[in-house]
Amino acid sequence: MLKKASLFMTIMFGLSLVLAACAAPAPVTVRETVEVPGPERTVIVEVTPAPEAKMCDGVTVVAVTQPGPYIAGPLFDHADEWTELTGGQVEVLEVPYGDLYTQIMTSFTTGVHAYDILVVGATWLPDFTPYLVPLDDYIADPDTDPDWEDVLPAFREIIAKWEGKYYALTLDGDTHSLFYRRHLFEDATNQANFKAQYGYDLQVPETMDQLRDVAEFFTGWDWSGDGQDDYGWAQPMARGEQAHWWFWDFVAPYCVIPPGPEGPDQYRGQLYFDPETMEPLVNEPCMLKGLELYKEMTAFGPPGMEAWNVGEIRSGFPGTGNIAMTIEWGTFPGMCEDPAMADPTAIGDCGTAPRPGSLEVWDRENQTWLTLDEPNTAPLLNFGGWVGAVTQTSENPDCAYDFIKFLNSPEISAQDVVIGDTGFNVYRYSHVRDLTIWVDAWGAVAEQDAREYLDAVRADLENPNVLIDLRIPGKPEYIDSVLDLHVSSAIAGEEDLTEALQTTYDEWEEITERLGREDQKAFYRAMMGMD
Amino acid sequence: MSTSALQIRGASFSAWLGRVFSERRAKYYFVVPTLLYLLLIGIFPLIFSFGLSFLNWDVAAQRPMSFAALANYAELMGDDRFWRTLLNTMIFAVVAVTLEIVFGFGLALLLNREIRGQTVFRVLLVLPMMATPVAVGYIWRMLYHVTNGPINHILRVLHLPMGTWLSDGSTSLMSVIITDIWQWTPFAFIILLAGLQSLPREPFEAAKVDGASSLQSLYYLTLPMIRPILSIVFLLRMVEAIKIFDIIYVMTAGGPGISTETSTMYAKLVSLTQFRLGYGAAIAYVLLILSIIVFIILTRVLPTEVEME
Repeated sequence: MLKKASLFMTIMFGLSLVLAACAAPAPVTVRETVEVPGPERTVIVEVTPAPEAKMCDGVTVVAVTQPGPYIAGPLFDHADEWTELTGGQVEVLEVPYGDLYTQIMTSFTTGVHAYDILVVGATWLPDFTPYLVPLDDYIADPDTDPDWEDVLPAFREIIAKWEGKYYALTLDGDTHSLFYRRHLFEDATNQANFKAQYGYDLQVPETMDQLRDVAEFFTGWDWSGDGQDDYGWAQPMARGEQAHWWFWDFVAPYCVIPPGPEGPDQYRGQLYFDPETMEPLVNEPCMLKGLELYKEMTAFGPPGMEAWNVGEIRSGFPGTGNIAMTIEWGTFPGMCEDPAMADPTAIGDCGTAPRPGSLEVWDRENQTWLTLDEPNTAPLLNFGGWVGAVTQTSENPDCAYDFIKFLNSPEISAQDVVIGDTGFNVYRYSHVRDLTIWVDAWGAVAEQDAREYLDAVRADLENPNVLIDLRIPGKPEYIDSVLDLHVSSAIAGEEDLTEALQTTYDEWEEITERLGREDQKAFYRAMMGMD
Repeated sequence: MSTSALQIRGASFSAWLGRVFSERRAKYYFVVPTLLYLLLIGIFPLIFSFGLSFLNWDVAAQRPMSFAALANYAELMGDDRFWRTLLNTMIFAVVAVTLEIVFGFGLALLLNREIRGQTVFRVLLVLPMMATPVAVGYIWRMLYHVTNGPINHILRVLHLPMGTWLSDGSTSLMSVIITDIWQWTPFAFIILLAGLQSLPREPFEAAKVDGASSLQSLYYLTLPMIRPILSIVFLLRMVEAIKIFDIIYVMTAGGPGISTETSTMYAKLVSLTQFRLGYGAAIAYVLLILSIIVFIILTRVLPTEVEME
């Protein structure tokens, strides 16, 4: 019995040794020469050095953002690389976009520590700043500087900043561009037919009137050769599905007079409010003109487009290949070049241009329309982009910041912005100046697409008339609860267009009164960089 | 310590235990946790939100809360959007629940007999009820898709006019009602089928002997006898339908315009998008009171006992 027991113990001991050897890393043998008193001799010692401590060993940072693949995808993709570098772990919580603001705000107002890192829309930053860590010291410190000067000014000085302080690092630079199927515009028959019908040459639209004509021209006939009628235009229009950013694309060129060299004033560079009175501008004649065109464009899109969301545009334009033009974010061209997402005919055929402008602009000061020689463009940084911020309740703000900095770094961000379904778009000089990263990612067939895309983005970002999304307290109420609703009602025919804009005006006034006109005015002027 | 002292201590501890766990007191120990649970989870939020409805707590304004007295309720009385969403809710609830009961009763009558494959039919019919409302919402959103949806595809094949379903304010509410009917008719079916199977056979056999037709049996026997169960189904479904949120949120988010926005969606919008917590609580309370009124009216009007002439 004793013999059996001892045999069993021996086997178990041997097994445990084998397992231990498999589990633990092999000790590193270091040969060192050490001096000992007496006659010189060499002693060989075996030492196992302690593993080098990393800055975030044992730390887990919790990040919250919208569900992947867009936005959350890169956080998951790069978490292991960051863990390798710092020893820290990242837990990513995915919250549906529609509930993201609400859930974060709820955790803040109830004082519950739920997240270390927010990866959220820059447009919400003003509401969150009371609960965030200012990042100025990190950015100013050469050891933790995220190569900040390489970030394009709009995304560095406007998007990541609030009331003079940096509260976030940019992870995505958002602006809309016009995307079009290039071969349609190069086709001689199309050119001849268009000229016969409209009396001028077919070209990529530079004005809103041209956009309307070209969209109409490519609607209702089978230009793709699949046996079904195709469409000239597509855009999301459903309520609660971000359609309001397209509304601004349509009204801004008619409404915004470019600011002078001293920046925006009461009448120049304004889209949302009069900065002197905080009176809404949404019932101005230029808004009505833009909304009329916005509604008219439904006739040139697929039936039921009134209920479309952004996903349907993305599957529609590159996916089915039966839509001639759309306006979208920079996520779009990456999808156009991805064989897994795009119709084969769309690959290498996705042209990009800046959004069309207008040859008329409303002069609010003199209550008259101005006629221009060159199209007035008012490029809006729609949504502004996704930013990473650190919460004040984080017990490890240094590690939380380091993970954001890692995502924002030129090397990592360059990998993300060229892939369509990361949702991250260009925001660094190094992204827009280096064509090779795009050609490497998309293939040589897409070189012209890449060049046009980068040119269009740069044209918008370098435009002195660049506008930002509304960023004042109560923004979700002004936009999501009121404007989005009444624009949707107008498109559905439930409200007359003028009535919809006037009701929006009235309800915006009520919100401003409730939140405090002077406070709101101060926030708005700060947002416009006027004080 | 001496042995006797220990014995005295032991005896007093036993006596203390006996007192603590006496039969008279023990019953409270079983009830208290439940009471605490109810107070914390059920009653406290009700009281808290009731108090909240008299406050002005506007998180977006970044100002501290203040006492608003009845201002939130007064604002609600003049809030056109609230009344419009309430109308949508009532149309949705009455139409959907009525049709669910009509269809559910029809199916129950159909399957309340010996037919081959009865079990399979029953399982298939209750499947929609098992699906989560969010999944149902997405499924029907795809079914209704104007260009790629199978419903319009079938209509196109049959050379019938295609519908605009969710994208048109005049059809969107009916479209979400159809979805709710699809999901919850099985609930009415399964309860009513159980009710039909519990009815006594004798009156039906007597009626048959007297020469009553099937329709006469249905009208004079089945309906009066099943009426209490119909009432219960109607009541339960009405209470649920008035609170509808998930399916509509997924399918239309309340649009186009305001055509499918219900009162619960509006309350959520006010509370958790606008972060007007006081006003949101007032809306929730008015909804609660209206639901209670509907419940009381229905329990008074609807029969709960078998009434036969």
